[in-house]
Amino acid sequence: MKHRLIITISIVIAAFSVAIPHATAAKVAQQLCGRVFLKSGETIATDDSTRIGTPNKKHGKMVIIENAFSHRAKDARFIEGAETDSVQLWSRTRTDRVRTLIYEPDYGWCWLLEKAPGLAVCVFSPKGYYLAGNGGMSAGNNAVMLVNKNGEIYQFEKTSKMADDTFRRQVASFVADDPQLQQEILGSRATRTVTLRMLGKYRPSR
Amino acid sequence: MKLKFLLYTAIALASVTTASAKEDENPESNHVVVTLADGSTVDGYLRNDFKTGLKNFFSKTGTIKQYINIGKERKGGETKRYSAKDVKEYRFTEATEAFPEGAVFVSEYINTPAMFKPHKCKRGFAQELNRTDCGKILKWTGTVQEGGRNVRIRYVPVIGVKFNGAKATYSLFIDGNHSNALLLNYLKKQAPELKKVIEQYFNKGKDAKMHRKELAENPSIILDLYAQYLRDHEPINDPEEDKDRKGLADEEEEEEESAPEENGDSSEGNNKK
Repeated sequence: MKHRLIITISIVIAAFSVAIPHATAAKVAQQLCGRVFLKSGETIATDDSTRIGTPNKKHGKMVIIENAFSHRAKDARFIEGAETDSVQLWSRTRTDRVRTLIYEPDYGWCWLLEKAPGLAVCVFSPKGYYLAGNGGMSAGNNAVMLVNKNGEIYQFEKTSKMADDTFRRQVASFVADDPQLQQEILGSRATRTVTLRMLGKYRPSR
Repeated sequence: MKLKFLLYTAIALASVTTASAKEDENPESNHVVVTLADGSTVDGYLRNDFKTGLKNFFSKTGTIKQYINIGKERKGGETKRYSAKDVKEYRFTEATEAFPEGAVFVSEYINTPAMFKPHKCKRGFAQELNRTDCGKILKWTGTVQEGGRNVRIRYVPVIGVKFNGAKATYSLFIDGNHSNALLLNYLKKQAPELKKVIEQYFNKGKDAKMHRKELAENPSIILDLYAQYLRDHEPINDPEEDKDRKGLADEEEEEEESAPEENGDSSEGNNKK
């Protein structure tokens, strides 16, 4: 008799939890202000009460959350990475520092640092990204930097180290048709991150 | 006792060795500009030395850094030790994506509660996470005690807020757990209206749980709340604010801080007093 009662109560609880899902069922890393640019041309922008829920998995979905940070919070829309062109994010307390995420199918969500004609420099962190209240963004451990040269991706690790000659030559080879920038890269003395970010100055016609 | 001393020495040595090994990575990683309490600036490199390490390790605050050692060159040459009392802040010259203007460590009074002294404060260095016109969000290392019979002390990150005009920085999160009881207790006397606002928003209101979640993601929202409060109210004005710089420090702190501020030994051992 006692067992039957316990089983009945558990079935009722399970049924309720399935029938009435939580308003914000998706687990998100952070809820931020921003704009989502879809490949279809549609743009979704947040307002005072709406937020973009950033994925906590590398291939996770972006979530548009209505009435964020209130008991009426609701997942209004899920957006697949493959559907997006880019996602601009900023903190509520620092609106002038805008960070951009793009989706690379082979990796997942990547943080775009520099963009130039035919070139993009980004960071990929398997553990995600954190946008702080001062507008600064940081990547998790084991982050790597990626250079996307006309659709071909090159991966660079240990990016806080100083760049050596071999590294500088490799980076300079991406901008062979911009001799001015090539010389600047070869003559630089900086960390790998800073050297890679110099690719943002790439102008092929120069 | 002897074993304990040897253990502490080994830990201090290990921390110095690790820090100097990391220095080889990026020569500018420890380049700082120190702003002293009188407003003058010192350009140099943050250096680790054995004596400063020990002084920080055995200081009364324990986990809160109270001394820094600055050298004119990255390696070798003379170094000078500064106590938190003499320094306003030190800023790393290298900008990062997380800290676009360079990471800043400010010297502030930090609430270090003790038994029967919940508002006891000590001056020390804390990392500044954000700064607005009405205050700062700071991060430092604190300790928590765990266990019943076998008490363990764990080092944990603490995030706190320093409202402009307040006596000290009070914690908001200890090891990721919301903990603003001492802040509310302090505000009860200094700014009762602000206490009510914060309590309603983060502790008692209908959406308090969600607001705490937002605070955990972005502690700077409490400064926004204070900015809103200042539209209709007077700012906090605690006469005890910055007492040691105004020469009002109590005897205990005078004793502690006046003794050792001389040139420190560098890790290379070639600096002079």
